[in-house]
Amino acid sequence: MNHAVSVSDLTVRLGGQEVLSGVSMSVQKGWIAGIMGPNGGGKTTLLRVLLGMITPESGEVEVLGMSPKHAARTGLVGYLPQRSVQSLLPVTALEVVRMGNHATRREALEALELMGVADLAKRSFWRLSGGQAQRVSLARVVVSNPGLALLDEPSTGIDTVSQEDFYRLLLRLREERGITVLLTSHDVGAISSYVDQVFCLNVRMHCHGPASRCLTRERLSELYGRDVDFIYHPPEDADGHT
Amino acid sequence: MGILEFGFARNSLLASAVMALFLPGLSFFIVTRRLSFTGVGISHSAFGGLALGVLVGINPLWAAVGFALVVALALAEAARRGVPEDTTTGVLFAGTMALGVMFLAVAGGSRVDLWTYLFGNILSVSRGDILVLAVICVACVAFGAVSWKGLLLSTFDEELARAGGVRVGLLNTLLLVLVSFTVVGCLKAVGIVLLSGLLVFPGAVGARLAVSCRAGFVASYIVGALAIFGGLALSFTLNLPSGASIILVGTLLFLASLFVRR
Repeated sequence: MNHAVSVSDLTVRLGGQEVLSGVSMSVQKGWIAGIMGPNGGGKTTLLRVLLGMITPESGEVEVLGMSPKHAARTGLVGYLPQRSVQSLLPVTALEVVRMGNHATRREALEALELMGVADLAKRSFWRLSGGQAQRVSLARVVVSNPGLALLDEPSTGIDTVSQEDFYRLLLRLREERGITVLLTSHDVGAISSYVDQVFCLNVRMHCHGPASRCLTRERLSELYGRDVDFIYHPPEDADGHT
Repeated sequence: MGILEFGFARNSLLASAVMALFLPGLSFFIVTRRLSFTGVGISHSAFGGLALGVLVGINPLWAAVGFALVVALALAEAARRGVPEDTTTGVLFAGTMALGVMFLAVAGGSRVDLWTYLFGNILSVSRGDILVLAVICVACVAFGAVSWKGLLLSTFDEELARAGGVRVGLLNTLLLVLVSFTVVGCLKAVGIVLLSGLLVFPGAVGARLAVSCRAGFVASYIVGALAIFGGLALSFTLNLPSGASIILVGTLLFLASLFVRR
């Protein structure tokens, strides 16, 4: 079994509307793969199917060789949802890492250490910067040693430098822990620089393959249903200057 | 031995102790799950039930249980259908109060001391009332112990909780049902109007002052106990209304917390 994710002819209907139609894809173990597509194109729905939260109308889905629900129960699938509205729950970074799993305090601290944010363990999670909060959230994902990490728009709302650090962390996790990563993003630059495989999704799968093949002007125009132009942004330095 | 020679004083102290065992914990989750207004709505909906009890000649407390429960379940169902809790609360709050006024008008004058139910009198609680409070206390503590991880996770992030297999809708419904039972259990002691404060300020102060969940939960208990026992002591010492004294101490603690820098 060489695939972390295997989806065949998947169709999902929500509220009478077809949100995913005949989608097939596979993610090899050890890959960092990215799903791109417009809002409402089914990216989050696909992740929810892989987590066993949504039962598809038809199609075959396997996650780490198991049904999605079974895989989710084993704790081998880590999930980082889109950043939600700030909760009123007072919570430290360390408590966030231990949420929803059986990690000990020591394991949680090690995960924070791995992410380079162990010094933030006792700080309020809500007072962290976007980049720091994402590292803490990623520590929560990796603390249970998942085989697969599903990340929903992990770089939204964080600055360019923090985004690059975040993607480098993903590469490190792949190298050191062999974690397969499937993420959604709108960031063409990051996707093309850091992922092994791109899936262009807008209800149906428009294209999949290496970034160099899928992230062309023509392909993206077809995906988004309108003309797309690339604007080159020179990388920022640490002070945010271009 | 002083005032504790009297049975009513011992009963009120016992009732306070039982309330201090579960109300602050409930309050912590009501506030952090943004259900403060919902708690206020459920407590006020009991007024309609009390008035119905007066009209048809049954124990007003039983009728209040029914009303509060129906409102709690309606809130949970409306939330499941995508209507925000505060919207449904706003409608049902006014609707059940209006029903109460109608029932009392038809009944042609009050045959019970509604003042006691609106503003409470902890000195009037009986052993039976304390037993009811104790049962509700056990239910709340058991719910908290069994659902602790799920409650925390779903309060932090509902999507994450759903992905982790937490039945968020069921937790919300159970929480609201417990609030409705709590409201009715505390009616005689604190009253409909004042109870809404007790459902909110311990959690509000705890969540505001603490950085961690554990500290917030503990702080809610400290604030709740300070308000309940401090208010009771004030009431005994200065011969003031007990429910109002408890709520005023809690209100002062909340106002003081606004000036504390974290």
